[in-house]
Amino acid sequence: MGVSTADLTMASATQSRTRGAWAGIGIFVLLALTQWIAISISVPDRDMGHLQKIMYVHVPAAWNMMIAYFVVAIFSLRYLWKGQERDDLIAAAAAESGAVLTGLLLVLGMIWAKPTWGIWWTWDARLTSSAVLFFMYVGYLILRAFVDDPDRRAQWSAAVGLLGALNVPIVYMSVRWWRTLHQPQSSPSTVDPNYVIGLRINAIAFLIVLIYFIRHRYESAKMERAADQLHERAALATRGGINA
Amino acid sequence: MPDNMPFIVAAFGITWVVLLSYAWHLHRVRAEAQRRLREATEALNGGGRA
Repeated sequence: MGVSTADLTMASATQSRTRGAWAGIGIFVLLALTQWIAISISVPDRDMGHLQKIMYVHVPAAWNMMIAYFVVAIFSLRYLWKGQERDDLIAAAAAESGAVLTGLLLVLGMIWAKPTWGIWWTWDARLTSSAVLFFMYVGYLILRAFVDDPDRRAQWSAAVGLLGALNVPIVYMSVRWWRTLHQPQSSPSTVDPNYVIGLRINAIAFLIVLIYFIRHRYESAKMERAADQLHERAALATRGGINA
Repeated sequence: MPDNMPFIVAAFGITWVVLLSYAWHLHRVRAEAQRRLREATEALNGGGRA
């Protein structure tokens, strides 16, 4: 009895799933640790008091949302250039993870805005451009769900992915280009030195979470495509048998 | 207790709920993909193996 390629694919998928689950647990333990360190070492802010600690989740979510969309743009461009399915699947995985982070970013921003500005939401340039980015990528995901033909789906979503990524520099620069209620970008060079380590380690922990999400989603998408192709081969083999 | 504690707890709590929920969703998507791959493998091999 021989071992087929499909059997080997199944075996490696099972192994990879177990490894992925352990990696996930490790990554979330790391995130808990970096948050605990940041909260423990940061002193209350002069103006915001302990509310400043929201920065350790809000700002890493924002940076990694931008990284996710950078990945979408790069792999969308690569797909349009080379036409390889792998690039389309990576772009889609990054778009889904990026949309999750953008949704989280908006909610965290509202939670921070209420006690700081006295309102949950305002049509400020930064908030509005971030919301537009979120809806563009929700649109990207809806488009993928409704187009059945893989080639057409990949081409259209690559175009939408690139269009959406054009909004990222607008989101980033909005606090400089327009007079906004939102403060200027938080970065290690603009925040108080007391908060730099906490911000950096949490940004790195979020980046590791993002990489884990993208990789996990990409591997599942690859398995889905392999299953579709095997189903097509099985259907063709059955049809061939009937015709013979 | 720090000022604005409910907002701080909400921010960290929502972060964990969102990230863990998405991780769980990915885990289920993967399990489903694996199930489909197994079914497809069996279909290609004639519906069962000795």
